[in-house]
Amino acid sequence: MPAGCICLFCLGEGVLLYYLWTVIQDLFCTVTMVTLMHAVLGLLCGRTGRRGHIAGICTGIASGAALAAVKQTTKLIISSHWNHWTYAFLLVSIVAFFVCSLIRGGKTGKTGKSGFFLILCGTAVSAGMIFFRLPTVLLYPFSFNTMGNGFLSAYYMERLGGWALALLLLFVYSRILYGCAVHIRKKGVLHGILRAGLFTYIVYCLGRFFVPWISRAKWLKWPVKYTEAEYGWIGSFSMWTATNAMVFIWICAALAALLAFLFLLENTRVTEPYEHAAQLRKLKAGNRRRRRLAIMTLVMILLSVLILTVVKAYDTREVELSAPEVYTIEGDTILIPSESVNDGHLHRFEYTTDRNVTIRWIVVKKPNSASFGVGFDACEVCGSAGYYERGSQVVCKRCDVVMNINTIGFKGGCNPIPLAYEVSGGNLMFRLEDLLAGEKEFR
Amino acid sequence: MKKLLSLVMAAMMLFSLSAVAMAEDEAGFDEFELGVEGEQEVGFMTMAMVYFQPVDMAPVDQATAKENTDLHIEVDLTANENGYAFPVDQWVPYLTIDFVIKDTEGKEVTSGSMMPMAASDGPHYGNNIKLADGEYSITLYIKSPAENGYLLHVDSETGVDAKDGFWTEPLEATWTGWKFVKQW
Repeated sequence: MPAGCICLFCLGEGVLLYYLWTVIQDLFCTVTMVTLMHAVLGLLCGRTGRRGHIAGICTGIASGAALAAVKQTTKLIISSHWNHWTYAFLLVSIVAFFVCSLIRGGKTGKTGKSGFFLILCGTAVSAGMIFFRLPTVLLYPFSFNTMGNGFLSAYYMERLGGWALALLLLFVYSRILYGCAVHIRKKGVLHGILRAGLFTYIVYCLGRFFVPWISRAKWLKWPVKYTEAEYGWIGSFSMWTATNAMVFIWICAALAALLAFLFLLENTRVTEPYEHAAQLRKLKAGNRRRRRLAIMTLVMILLSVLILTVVKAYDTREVELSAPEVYTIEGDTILIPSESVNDGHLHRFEYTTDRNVTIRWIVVKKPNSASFGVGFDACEVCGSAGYYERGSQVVCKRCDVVMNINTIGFKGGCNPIPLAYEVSGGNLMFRLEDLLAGEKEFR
Repeated sequence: MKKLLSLVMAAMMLFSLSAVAMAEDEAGFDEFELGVEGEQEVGFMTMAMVYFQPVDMAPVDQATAKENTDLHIEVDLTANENGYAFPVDQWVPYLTIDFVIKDTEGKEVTSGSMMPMAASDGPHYGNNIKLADGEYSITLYIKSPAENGYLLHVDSETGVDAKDGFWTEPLEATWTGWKFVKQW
């Protein structure tokens, strides 16, 4: 372990949140589409449809888990190739599903040939979506245990907690969304929302399908080479799908919310005939239950959106470095009064050279010690990103590694690049030539 | 009908498992060219940049750990005819290579240093970095080996041709039109 790097990686803040929003971001669309597909296939093809779809879900999970295991233990998997062909598979199966659903129309009851192909295509879509997204999510826990922290450490448990909480929220969301989907009376709404969701997914897959081509990947031996001049519009479309991936999640969330909202509206009053008051009470109770289901679904969607917006923004916020403090210069020596920096907090200073380069350095009183941690506000790994104070910790702004304050001043790893100083007459003294030796770190 | 569906599901499972088994036995990554410029002459060197998925590096560092980064960028450089006695067509050691990545509006997105390292195909400068999908340009600032304590003989008998020593201002090279999308 490099000297000075505790590598707690923001213990107690942000790590749980990171895996919470990351897993939801990875799986929200897949969970929504698979849930709606299950409802539609059950509606159109009854028990055969549901069983066939469950078999497909199991296929997707098993294949995804197998792929994750092979990725983790071997170097057989070239992810960019697999992703490319999975996008192709999804494109074909979604188009096939659209064709089959047009042929089947709204027919329910006997499965028949049209039902069989509809189940097959719908199942292929769900299996493909799960196969595509699941390996990444399954492999997250294998990236938690870095830098020697054990499985039972707070370090590992926080990450696992965020990951597990996200999966639990998605499971609950799926269950209650399914409840809305199977009980909504206007089945055409359910079909329309599933088709709209799948159409959105086709657009996304198409954009991502062309990424290896616009990246001029050597393995993609297509006869037509990408050039900006001729095919710039495809490049722009691909880049747009990549940089605006959240748009597809918002569309998916909006469609799910629309379904839940229409389900809520359907159950605001009793429309079925009744013969007596007891029957009316029963119908009203049913409406209340369904309204609660719809509201819970809307709450879960809102919670997911909040996690993907507010929580994510908080977790990825840019940290501002604290303002530099004053000091005095006497000849070739910079003087900083000890009493101004002995409070245990991080203090930052700046000096601008003749070449207009601003050199920064930091001073922090070491805990339970009379000495100071002094170094340039830069390290050999992250460059001049700088350090900031978070609670009682000194943290690298670029990589979020927590410093061991007691080793600030020692060379190596994530430590600030050492800067020589002396303590004399109540001042910390720095030689200008030592400061200027660090100029190259800030150029 | 149910039996037929079960058979189809089983076939899909077998297909997926056999696809995994038949996966390429080459190294598990694919290299991508970075930028539209391709190879460039920079000072006395020829340089090209590539990127691929993040890799494990030793000694391990949290900042550049594979799990915390999005890609690995590399600059492959070789010396041309030069006055510093670096062998032609060979890697040049002791350089300090800083990089700045900017978006299409010219705003700096990230910066850092390319570290000297070795892979199975030989030495190069590179690093694992965090970067969101987008279109970027990358500029390299190549500082001379003198900054890392590399000296030159400049006497008349054993000295190198470049009697004035190394360059003093960083050499610069930029690659543009880099459409980065994380594909792994």
